[in-house]
Amino acid sequence: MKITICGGVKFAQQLVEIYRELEKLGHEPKMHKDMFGIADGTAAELIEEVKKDHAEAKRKYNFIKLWYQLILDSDAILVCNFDKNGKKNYIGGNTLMEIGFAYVNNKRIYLLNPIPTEVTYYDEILAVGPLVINNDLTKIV
Amino acid sequence: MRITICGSISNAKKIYAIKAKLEKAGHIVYSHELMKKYAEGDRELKDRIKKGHHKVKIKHNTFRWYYNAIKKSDAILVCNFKKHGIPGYIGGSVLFEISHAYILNKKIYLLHNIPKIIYYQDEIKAVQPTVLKGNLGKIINQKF
Repeated sequence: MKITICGGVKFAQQLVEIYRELEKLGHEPKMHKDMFGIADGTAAELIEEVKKDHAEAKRKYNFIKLWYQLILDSDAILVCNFDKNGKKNYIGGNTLMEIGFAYVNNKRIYLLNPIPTEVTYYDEILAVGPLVINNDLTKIV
Repeated sequence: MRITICGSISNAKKIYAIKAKLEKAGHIVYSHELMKKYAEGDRELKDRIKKGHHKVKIKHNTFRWYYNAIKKSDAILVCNFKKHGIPGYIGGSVLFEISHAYILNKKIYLLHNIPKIIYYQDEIKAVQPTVLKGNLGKIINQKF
């Protein structure tokens, strides 16, 4: 299955690990190429730009539209919602946008962990009917 | 021009008043039927939303409805009134609508400033909306 992996850049290393795992399971994972550079530290300039002004980096590198294109070319998305800054199963704005893209384009939506309950957009996530896999990648079928 | 009007349903009355102003100025405005019902005080709808807002969104297919409305629009107008004590509040559904407008290359107008919401302030900035600062004049006179 073609799967776009979604999640925050803070978790780039974990996202790359999941990418490799999905490959081993016979899937065709998709992720922006820069995520690999962020994960291994080679994209130093980009990492600095993201730290300095994340909104500007998103715009400059056209990240939102590039991820959208990946989702269009996928059967599903996997939302990697790890705990972040004390927030359980965190889903940020960027990933929320990607969930919306997947939904209206009839892509399956997998969540690595349960729906976060501390966010104001709990209802929206619930409404798209995500499949929670509880960290078990073999549940992606 | 063709405008999809977006905002929290709890502000339906205000949103509907803006819709009327835009239509009077000659614009074609798309707004989900639930917004009208809520603005008119539909008690049954309000109760259903209170009991389970996600169920209402699913039943009325609101996400896809807005996506399709935005597709045929030139712009969206986000009516981001104060909510939960946050000036210019934008909720999850409206963030979806903003992101759809962005990838469909539609103009994005915010009625008020970008809200200080840590979850997605950067994303809203990144799509470079035009902030009207409460002044509808900029779009009322806009021709496409």
